[in-house]
Amino acid sequence: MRSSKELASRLRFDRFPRPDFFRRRYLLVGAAAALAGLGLWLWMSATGGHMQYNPGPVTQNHATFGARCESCHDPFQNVKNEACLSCHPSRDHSEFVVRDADCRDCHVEHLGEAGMLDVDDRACVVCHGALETTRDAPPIARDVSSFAAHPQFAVLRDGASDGAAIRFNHEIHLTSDKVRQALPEGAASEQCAPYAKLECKTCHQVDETGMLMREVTFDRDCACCHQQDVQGPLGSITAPHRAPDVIRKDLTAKLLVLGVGRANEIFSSRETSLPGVRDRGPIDESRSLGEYERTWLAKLEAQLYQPFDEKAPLLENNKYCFLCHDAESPYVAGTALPVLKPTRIAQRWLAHSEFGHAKHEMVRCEDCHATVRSSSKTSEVNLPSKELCAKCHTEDAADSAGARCALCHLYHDTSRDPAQRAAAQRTIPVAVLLGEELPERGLQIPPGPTPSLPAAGEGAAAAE
Amino acid sequence: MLINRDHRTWALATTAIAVVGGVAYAGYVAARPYGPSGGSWVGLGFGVAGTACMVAAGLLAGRKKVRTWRVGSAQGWMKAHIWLSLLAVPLILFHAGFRLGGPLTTWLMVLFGIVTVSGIAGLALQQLVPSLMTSRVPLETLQGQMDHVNEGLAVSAYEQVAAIAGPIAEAAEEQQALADEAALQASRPGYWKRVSRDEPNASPEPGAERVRQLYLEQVRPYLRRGLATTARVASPAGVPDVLGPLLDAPEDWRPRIDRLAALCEESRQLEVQMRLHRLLHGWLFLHAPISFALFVLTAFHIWFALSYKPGG
Repeated sequence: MRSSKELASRLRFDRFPRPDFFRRRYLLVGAAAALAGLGLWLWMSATGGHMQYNPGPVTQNHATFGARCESCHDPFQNVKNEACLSCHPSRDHSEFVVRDADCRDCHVEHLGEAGMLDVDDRACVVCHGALETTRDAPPIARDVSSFAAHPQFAVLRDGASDGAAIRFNHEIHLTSDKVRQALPEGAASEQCAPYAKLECKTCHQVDETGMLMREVTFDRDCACCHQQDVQGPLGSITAPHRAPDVIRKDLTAKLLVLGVGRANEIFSSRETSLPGVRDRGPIDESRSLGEYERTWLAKLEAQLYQPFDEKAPLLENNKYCFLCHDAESPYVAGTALPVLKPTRIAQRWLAHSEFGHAKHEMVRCEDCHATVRSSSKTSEVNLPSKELCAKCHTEDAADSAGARCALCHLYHDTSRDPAQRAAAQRTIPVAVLLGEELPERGLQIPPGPTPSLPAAGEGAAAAE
Repeated sequence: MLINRDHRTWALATTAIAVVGGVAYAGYVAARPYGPSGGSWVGLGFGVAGTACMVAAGLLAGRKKVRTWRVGSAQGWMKAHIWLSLLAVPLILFHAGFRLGGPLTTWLMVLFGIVTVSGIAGLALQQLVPSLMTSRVPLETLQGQMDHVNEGLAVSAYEQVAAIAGPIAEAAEEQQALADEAALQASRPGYWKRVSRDEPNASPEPGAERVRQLYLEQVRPYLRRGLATTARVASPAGVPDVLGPLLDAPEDWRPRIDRLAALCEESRQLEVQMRLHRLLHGWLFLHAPISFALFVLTAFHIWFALSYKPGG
């Protein structure tokens, strides 16, 4: 064993220890490495330009901008709303918001398709979890943090009723025997055969958007059974399903046509002895065309506007206007035409959300509208409750139909009307997408047809 | 640097910060509809904190260039380097949202990963290798004087063999070293500690030839395997067996033969020391240069990331 002294004697202390390779070339190696980093950056810049800073894939539509980051980005600033609005004009949400959200609050780019269109609930709950609105805001729920916390739909809350000013009895219409018996004689023709047994879809059919039911119209859905035939001088005359003043003009015209074209049948005449010769005799005041029109018009209108008799069988004494309609004031025959109450039939029940009937075609109508077959009053609202929706649209269930806000609610939909919304949308000219024309901020893109409507609600939930 | 109880404060502080950061990150992720983003204000906060840790850790390199400055102890700097670097890992991952992002950030992550892994490997080696050095290299010397010590071993071996077999013309380097040493001591008497050398045997004894042959064929090539030599002979694969072939040598040669074997063993240990030294410090060749490249790319990342989306 050698002592430390012996070991130390091996050393020479007349010179400093020689540093190792790395320490000898510290600056050189560091500079070389830094240059390598710079070279790597230059290489990425040369091969990919600014794409090297792209943190993730953009949506398919925005991919057409390529590496022109400045299409959306301004130096050292967030992406401004104007950058989005130059191509996507609508961002209105509500006039009652305290702070209007920025586009990027909900639509996150560079996450592929997911972040841009698949709006997460949290983007909604940020405000609607503890909603603050301006003072004159409507009474909407202010603590909706999930579909489970969503209140009952407003149209089903206590005291809510269908305010349509029209008499309609779903129960009778959906009970086939009663309808068949009520069909007027001859009505069960080939044309009216489908009406012999009414089903929901007989009158209610999904519109072309697949969202709402198309409007039920008298001429298409009611006229076969409820044709407004009144007894005229030579048989029945069909009155149009229009406003009373229009009906009057129509009936007057029809009476005039009859009076002129079939005068011999209308105005009394006596046969002469000569074959083939009619002797009408003198036409006095009472048999003038004018008096004829006034007389018969009064008769026809009296039929049309006969008051509704609640005690009489519906279609025996109640064939005409007041079977369904009410007048603003009681109608007295011979006086001014009745003023009918506006029907105010709701075309859209869930005013703050979108419901896609077409997407629910796998279920039967009565699965959701369970009370409709026993509904005899117009005031009864036969919509499914939120709880019914929640049976399929559960939260956090593997087989859930989804319970996200965006399933039913549209942030940008201010019109609540798919057609109007579609008209408001604009297409981006191909030239812009191809980069031939850089979309400047505030670029006015000409209106154009929209190829498709935005994906809308699949559930029946409504915010309010 | 050994991780011992002295690191407790740093370890606890950085662990606490990392845990707080993790909790904040979890809350931040839960609140963000589309997951974390380095461009959000919280994400930027993580990025700034992580980068600050990296820069603070990187200052160690500068500190080593100015060792004489009174700016904290070397141990303190090393502790800061270790723990701030480790703290930077979760902070940077929180900043990135555990995603690689685009090409630039992917490269950044790759470089950051290399720097981190190499640093952790180096730290682990520093816990293991010194004890290995102690147990396996009792004759350890200063790394910077390795060449000088090896030269000394070769000269000492020549001295021992020459004392038996007389001057050996083939060992020109050793003879020159001895001559230089004598000249140096003669030039300034009393300045150097006197080194007494055994003189070469003027009249070699019978049988000394095999000692000379063993020296030239095995011992000298082995001892000079890393040194300059004019008589290059393929160095043996292992330590030369000096004692075995000379078991029947005269008894008065025994101390010199034992000394020769000891010199070979010492040389072997120094070789082990060299290997362990390379193991202990070699990772720096990866760790430090990649760190420089990482900082350069980080600067570009910061500039362009901020220019595109600061917060939101």
